[in-house]
Amino acid sequence: MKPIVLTAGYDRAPHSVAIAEGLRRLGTPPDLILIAYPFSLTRIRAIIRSRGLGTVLNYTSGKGAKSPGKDPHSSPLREYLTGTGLAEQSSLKRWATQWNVRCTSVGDINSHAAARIVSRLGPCITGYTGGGILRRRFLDAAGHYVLNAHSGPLPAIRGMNACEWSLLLEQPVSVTLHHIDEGIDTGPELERIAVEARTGDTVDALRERCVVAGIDAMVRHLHAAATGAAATPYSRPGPSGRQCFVMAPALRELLEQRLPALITRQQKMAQQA
Amino acid sequence: MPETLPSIARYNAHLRITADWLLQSIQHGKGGSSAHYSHLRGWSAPYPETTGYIIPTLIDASAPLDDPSLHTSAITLGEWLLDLQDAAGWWPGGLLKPGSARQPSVFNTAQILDGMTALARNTGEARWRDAAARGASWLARNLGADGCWQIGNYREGVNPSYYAQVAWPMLQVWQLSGDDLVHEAAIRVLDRIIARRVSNGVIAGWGFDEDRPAPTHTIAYTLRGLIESALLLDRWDTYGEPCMAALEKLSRKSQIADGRLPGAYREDWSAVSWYSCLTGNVQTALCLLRVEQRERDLRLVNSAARLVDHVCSHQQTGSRPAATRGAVAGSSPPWGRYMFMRYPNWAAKYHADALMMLAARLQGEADR
Repeated sequence: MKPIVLTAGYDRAPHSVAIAEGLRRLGTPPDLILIAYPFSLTRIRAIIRSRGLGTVLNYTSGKGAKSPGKDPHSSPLREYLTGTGLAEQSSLKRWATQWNVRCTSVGDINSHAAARIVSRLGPCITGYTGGGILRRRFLDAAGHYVLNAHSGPLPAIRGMNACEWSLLLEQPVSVTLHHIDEGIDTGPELERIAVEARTGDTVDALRERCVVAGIDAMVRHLHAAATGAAATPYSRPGPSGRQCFVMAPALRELLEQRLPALITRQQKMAQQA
Repeated sequence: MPETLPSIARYNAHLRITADWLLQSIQHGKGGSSAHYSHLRGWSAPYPETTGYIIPTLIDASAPLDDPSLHTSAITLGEWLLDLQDAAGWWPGGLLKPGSARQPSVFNTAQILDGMTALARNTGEARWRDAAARGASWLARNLGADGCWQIGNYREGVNPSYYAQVAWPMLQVWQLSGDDLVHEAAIRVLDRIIARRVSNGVIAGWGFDEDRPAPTHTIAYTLRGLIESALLLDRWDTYGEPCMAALEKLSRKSQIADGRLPGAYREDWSAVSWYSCLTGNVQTALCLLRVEQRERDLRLVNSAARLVDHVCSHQQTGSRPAATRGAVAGSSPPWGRYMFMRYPNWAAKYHADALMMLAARLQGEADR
């Protein structure tokens, strides 16, 4: 059985904990959790430059962008975590200590130190659950078998805020499980999972539903790959879409304003599919 | 028109103070628009070139701001420029300082054509169309077979690639006058410039000086001139598509930096990042919005919005000092290399243009 590595962007990353726990319950717990520590100067500078100071302030005040909502009725991620008994377990480090899994922090996921740690494991399967854009050094160390659950349909919706962009650009809200290569969400796919848009959904609720679908898909594919039953990757025909970036406030307002109509559009697309 | 998105109201508020600052530059412009303000030296002499292309901005802003004084100012500026036009058709280069000799300028003449054609379209009056036709004819008559001018260049003998922004106003005049000589000359200019495109998407010589990094201001001039000419001539594959690699690169670079572009680029795309050229930021936003009108992709609007937001965040909105309320600095920080410690009128002009185009696009999408 090949060892499994999980990367994470934060210690308090509930989706990362859920993937680790899902793998453990299937009998294939991760062998290593690698956290790209958010408080390195390089990382903070990169986050401020790309997403603004507010992201860092939100994280430090406990309002991290990936924190699930409080109400399980309107928060699919909270509902999932409650259902799997993980509602009170949001720290990867604590989870790793509890289950005796090695958990290491690095300042930069693409550093020599991170590459050394991963390459020492030998041929492995890596599940990407955060930590910044992976560069060649890390991919080489990880043997180019790194999976990502992307919250949008590829190749149409590449990049950041994929769930939001899927809605606004009227592409089916979905999760694509794919290999990471050196491009931005350009690696071959393993599976595309449709995500249901429900009347009354907020953008946050839809995004969380994508996260839940991504957790499930990531656990299944990592487990299958580790046990020698990896799915065959395929490349979907058609040109790659223009890369998506963090939504500007004006576009986010537009999305919120049009959300009910966009959800209806999603439901029609799902019926036609 | 009701503003359905808070950001549209925000953009309109920025447009108001930007237009007010342009009006201040006109009050201090001795007939034209003062080129720039500095805390050390106050208001500069008027600048015929930028006075010319501020005219369409004032005309366009008059309706959304419901302010007829902007339209009146546009006409006043146009009349000042009519008085400055040489009998041969050209307008002078540089700032109009008392006692200084007036020399013909290719680039400045073309930017004034932008104002003249805007007034001609807006008022239907022959005086603007005739002045524009004379100016464009002077440009066409003096252009060599190689697509270069030997006189009237900013640097003697140098025909930079941002002369794409000369070809575009010439084509606007051709639309009004039907003068084929002007059309053919503009095509010669465009063909010479597009032939300078290299494999990394850069159009060589798009800066002020071929040996120095090009500010995003002149990069965006080059791209805008080519894009607008492509749209006007319906020749996208020839002049528009070759710009896309550079424009996509600028879009990506700005979005991973929260809407901020470096001040200048070398021709291998290595950046001079310690300052940002704010007018280049909004000019790039305008290029993206124009391309988006052709291919409808909200991701381009997003990129433009972030570029504009970055400039809004550096615009002084408080009431004091009054001379810089609504102004846009040349650089951020203001001691950056582009227009060191000055607030140029063209930065305000392009900011206003970008605010209007962005707000209109968002309103259209919100009304859908």
